[in-house]
Amino acid sequence: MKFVGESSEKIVGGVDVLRFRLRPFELVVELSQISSILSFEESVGLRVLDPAPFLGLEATRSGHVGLVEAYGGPPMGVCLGEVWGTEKWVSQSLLEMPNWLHANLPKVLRKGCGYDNLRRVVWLLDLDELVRSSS
Amino acid sequence: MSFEEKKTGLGELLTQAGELSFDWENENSPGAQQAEEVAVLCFRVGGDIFGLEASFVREIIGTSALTPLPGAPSHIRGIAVLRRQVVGVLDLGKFLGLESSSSEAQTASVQGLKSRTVIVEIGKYLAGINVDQVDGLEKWPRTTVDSVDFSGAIGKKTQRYMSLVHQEGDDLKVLLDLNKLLDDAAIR
Repeated sequence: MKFVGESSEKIVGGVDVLRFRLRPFELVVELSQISSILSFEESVGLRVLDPAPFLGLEATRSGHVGLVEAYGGPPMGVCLGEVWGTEKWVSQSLLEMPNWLHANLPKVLRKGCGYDNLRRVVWLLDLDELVRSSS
Repeated sequence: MSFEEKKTGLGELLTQAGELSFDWENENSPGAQQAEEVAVLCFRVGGDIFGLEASFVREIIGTSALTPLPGAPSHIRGIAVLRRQVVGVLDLGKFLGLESSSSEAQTASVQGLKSRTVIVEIGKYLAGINVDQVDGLEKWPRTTVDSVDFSGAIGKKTQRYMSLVHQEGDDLKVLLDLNKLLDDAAIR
């Protein structure tokens, strides 16, 4: 499986994701990009990135922060709101977004979405883009 | 009425009928114009009556299954997932700057009517259009639009997207140019 819009080699067996809720929206981020989960209070001293303003929400001031792996520089975290847990996603878990909506999607989201067994839409956080957009 | 008058009357009717006959060589003949009708799905948004060419309508669904799109402009109501296809849903009332369609929808639900999402497919677009109430299918004669005639009665933004206007009593019904509407809605 590969994320929509991403040109990686074919993935067999799925991708582990971390599922979280940032106020009204449910999102996932690739688990391999997050090394541990801290509380918001524990994230003092980290450079904390917040996807909320990109999603049309007010800045996050509570909940969980994911420690971000694989980026140089000072330690970095990402606001995750309320973390629900990990899941394994396969290509059947994902749906493509229609092209005409692409311009209306925040750039920190991938151009697709997840769709779970309970028929809930789950958005895909593009951590690389969040890092780029926040710098 | 005398026999002569009857004959004259029928003769006149025959003449009129002859004028109505379809002239395959001339698309402007009265018969051809009358024959050219368009099937339209009529609906209401913000107190106005609109139509969409029925050939572009794929299905009509309820509005409960919509998921809001993060950070999207207010005229994008959200997305619906239909048979594993994501469909973007446009809030027509907000897009055309009409009276709030949500308050209209509340009034509609009080009156026992329900807002709907009309799923349309045209060219590269598969999209939903949120409406306050679906009225049903009608056939309208295909006539040209003279926007100057309706400038007072139809909002400026609506005029941009009208491809035909149908008058029925006091009601003006606007057939929307779906391609133009979705082209503009796709641009943030």
